[in-house]
Amino acid sequence: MKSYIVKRLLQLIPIIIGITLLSFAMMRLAGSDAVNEMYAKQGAIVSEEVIQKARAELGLDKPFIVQYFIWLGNLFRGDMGVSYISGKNVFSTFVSKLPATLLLTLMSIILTVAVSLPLGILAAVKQNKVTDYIIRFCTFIGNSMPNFFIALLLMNLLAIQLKWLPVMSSGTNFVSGIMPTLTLGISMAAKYTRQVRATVLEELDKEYVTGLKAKGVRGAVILWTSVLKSSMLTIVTLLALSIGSLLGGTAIVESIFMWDGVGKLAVDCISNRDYPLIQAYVVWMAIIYVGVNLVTDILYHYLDPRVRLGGIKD
Amino acid sequence: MEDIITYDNVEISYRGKPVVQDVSFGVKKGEILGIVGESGSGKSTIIKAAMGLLGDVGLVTKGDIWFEGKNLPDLSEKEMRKINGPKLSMIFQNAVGAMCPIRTVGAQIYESLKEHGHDDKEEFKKNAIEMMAKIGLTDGERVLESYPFELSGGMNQRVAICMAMLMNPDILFADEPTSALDVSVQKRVVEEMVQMRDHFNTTIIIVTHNIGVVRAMCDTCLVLQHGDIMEYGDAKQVIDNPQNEYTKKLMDAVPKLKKAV
Amino acid sequence: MEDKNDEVKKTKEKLTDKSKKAEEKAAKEAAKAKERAEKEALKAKRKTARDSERSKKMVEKLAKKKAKAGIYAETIENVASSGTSAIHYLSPEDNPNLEITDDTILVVNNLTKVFHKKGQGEFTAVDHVSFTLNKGECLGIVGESGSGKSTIVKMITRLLDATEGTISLNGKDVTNVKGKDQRELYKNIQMVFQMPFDSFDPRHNLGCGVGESLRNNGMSKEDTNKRVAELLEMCGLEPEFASRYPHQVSGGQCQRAAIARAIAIDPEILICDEATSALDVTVQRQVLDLLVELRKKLGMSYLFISHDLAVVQQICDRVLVLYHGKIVETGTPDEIINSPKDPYTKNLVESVL
Repeated sequence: MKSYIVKRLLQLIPIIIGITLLSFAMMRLAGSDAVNEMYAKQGAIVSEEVIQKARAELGLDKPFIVQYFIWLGNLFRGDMGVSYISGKNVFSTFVSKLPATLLLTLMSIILTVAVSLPLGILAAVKQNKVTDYIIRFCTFIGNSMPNFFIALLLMNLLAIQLKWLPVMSSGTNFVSGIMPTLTLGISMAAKYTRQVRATVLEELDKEYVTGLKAKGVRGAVILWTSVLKSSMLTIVTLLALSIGSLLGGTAIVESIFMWDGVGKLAVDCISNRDYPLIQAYVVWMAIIYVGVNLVTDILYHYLDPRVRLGGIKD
Repeated sequence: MEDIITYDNVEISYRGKPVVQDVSFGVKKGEILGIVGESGSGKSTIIKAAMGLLGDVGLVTKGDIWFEGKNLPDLSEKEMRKINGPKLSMIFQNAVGAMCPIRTVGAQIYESLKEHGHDDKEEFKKNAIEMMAKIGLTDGERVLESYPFELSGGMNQRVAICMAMLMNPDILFADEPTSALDVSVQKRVVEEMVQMRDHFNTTIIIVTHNIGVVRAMCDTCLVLQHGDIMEYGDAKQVIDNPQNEYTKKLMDAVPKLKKAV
Repeated sequence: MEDKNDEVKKTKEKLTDKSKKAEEKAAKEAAKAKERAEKEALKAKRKTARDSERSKKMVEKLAKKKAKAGIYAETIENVASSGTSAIHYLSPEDNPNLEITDDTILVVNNLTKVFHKKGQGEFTAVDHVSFTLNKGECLGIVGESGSGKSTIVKMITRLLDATEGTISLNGKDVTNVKGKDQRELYKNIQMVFQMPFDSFDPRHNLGCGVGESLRNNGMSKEDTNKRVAELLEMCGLEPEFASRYPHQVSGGQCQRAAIARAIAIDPEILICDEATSALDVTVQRQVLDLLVELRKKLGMSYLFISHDLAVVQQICDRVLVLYHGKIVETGTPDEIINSPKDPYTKNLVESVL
């Protein structure tokens, strides 16, 4: 098991190199650079010399590959560089925004699971009855609304009309986090309720449910012990993917609510062409996805004995 | 002797379409009845109806199934749950499929016993291992800790029989229990089931398309075609001396091993 | 006068210069041409040398391959179950287990398949199996699950690679054929599978499935349709079945369509892999009768795999009994059933209910 984990973690290295090289290249292709953006935002028209000097200061005049390898070398020494825009250390800037995103991720996932699991199971058990139709209708609506729309609706309802919650988040605390969590939670729950329903329905169709009924086992017991355990595998996979994207920061939701997390940071630094910060973000995404996939595979190992054992005794 | 279970003019329909019509027969305690027919004859439907396993789409539309003075199709789900397991039990063709694949065999057996009030883990283990030894599974403890996919087909079927017999039911229904097994294993399982009957005096109703199995273990035989009873009587009579045209055709078509006398 | 002489001299010199230059040029060209020619000659020499080396290497390789295929370490193993010994033989002609006559069309010699499972070691599914199939014969292969009968068939039809041993069809070695040769093989060997519905593409009707091999071999649509109707009739189905889908017909009808599909390109050998095991008893009877009739009519040879001895007794001329990947007994069905020599065969015969 250990060697398997180590092997997977070692895969991080080529992945990070590949992703960062790609993003480096794409940023260059997108045209413009930090200096131009800086002066464009300031609205100042400066002479070429000043621009070139600024470029040379930041090392932007060197060829692309050279710039990349300089950055890579620094990375291995633990130095992620300095932001072009703010001049502050990239690593500490980045890390300071992480807790906000982590908190939002945690709260959204809890809300999603708490809503979609029970509703999905209920819809599956009462298939094609009234309850099922109501739940499916609600998920249909939830799925059709884009999350920025839900965000604005919630803002209008809870902050402006009912005045229960503040419009903008005042720091990274629980109260400010309610609306972003609700926004993310509603859109994700709409998706997942359907998924849970489909998975549980599939399991309920399997032969062993009839076998257990033939032993006089109660429906609820069958559900909680056998069906749920089997459904867990699918659900865990889906959750893993969602956590991955949530940890990358949901740029739109964070921006709307001014939630100072990694997603908002990403949007800002990309529009500023703040390369060091962008690269840091890309590295972070790579780490998340490799990490989350690894955790999922390990979980599979423990959840499904067929993966663990897979043999025939005699 | 009185019948322990009686089917009285039973008609069963799936989604409104009758699949089994006007079926009547009775089984005495300790008797082994074989229900034969080809695919689509409705044989599995008949026994599933007794235990309420027809699902949402199947319904007993006419007739009664009498057991212990009660009409089984009339009972509520709660009442059926009390009967399924301790009084009526079933084993299936695909023994592995009938068990949850990601839980150990022991956990599943224990759970079904717990539902009916037998909580004691120690007692359960002892009884289970004893029963398995009777069936021919010598390493009972290891089997209890295994998962269904780790055991072979024959072993799984024996575990299923053991599970079904642990509560000493009055009737054991068997839905094609030997069809998925190898020939030599088939013979042993058939012998073990007859032993169960001899030991516990359990009534067995076995559904199969294999006439050889019927010949080897059944007292009486019922022949079904398209949901109608074609012939019903003593097993040897029905097999060797069929009266009905369809039964004759069926018995003729069965490949028999011709041994030089 | 002197001027003229001078002029003449000058022109003479010019001319001699020119001609000298021309000569030099010509000489240079000649030299160059010579060089080129020499270079080419050298190149050609080197090429032929390389080629001959390459061909030598090839010859050596082939010789090694042949040697590997032909010569095995002559070890004698004890087969635990039957107490008989299995000796690994040289080429098919020298293997006393194989009676090769003029009528023999399929020779399987020392066929072996070893599966390597990660972390679980090796598993020998088929262990040095040798047998022959003669023209017009029906050979039965009997065994329980895990005996290796499906694996043997998969190796013959090249769905699996053999670890050791040879398979030859009409004298040609087909053990490792790929690509075009493999497609040629399929013109002579066809298979009918156990599950009739699963062996058809559910999105295409039966006529499409039956005629697929004909279309693949270049037959036009109209000709294919005509031939498909003929084939379906030969197998006891009305021609209108060609437009039905697999899920719309019964198991027996579907299996008949599968047989029609298999005989469409007139194969020499038809492999029936438990072809009747999933059918109802009455239908089984009909399909078996059909198979017997087709064999007589079309002169095919059958490899009939089954776990049911009674069925094998009905239609096979000879039987092989397989146990854990080895052949433990051979003979006619009556011999095997009435006087089985191997203990496993005895057990098998007695277990039939």
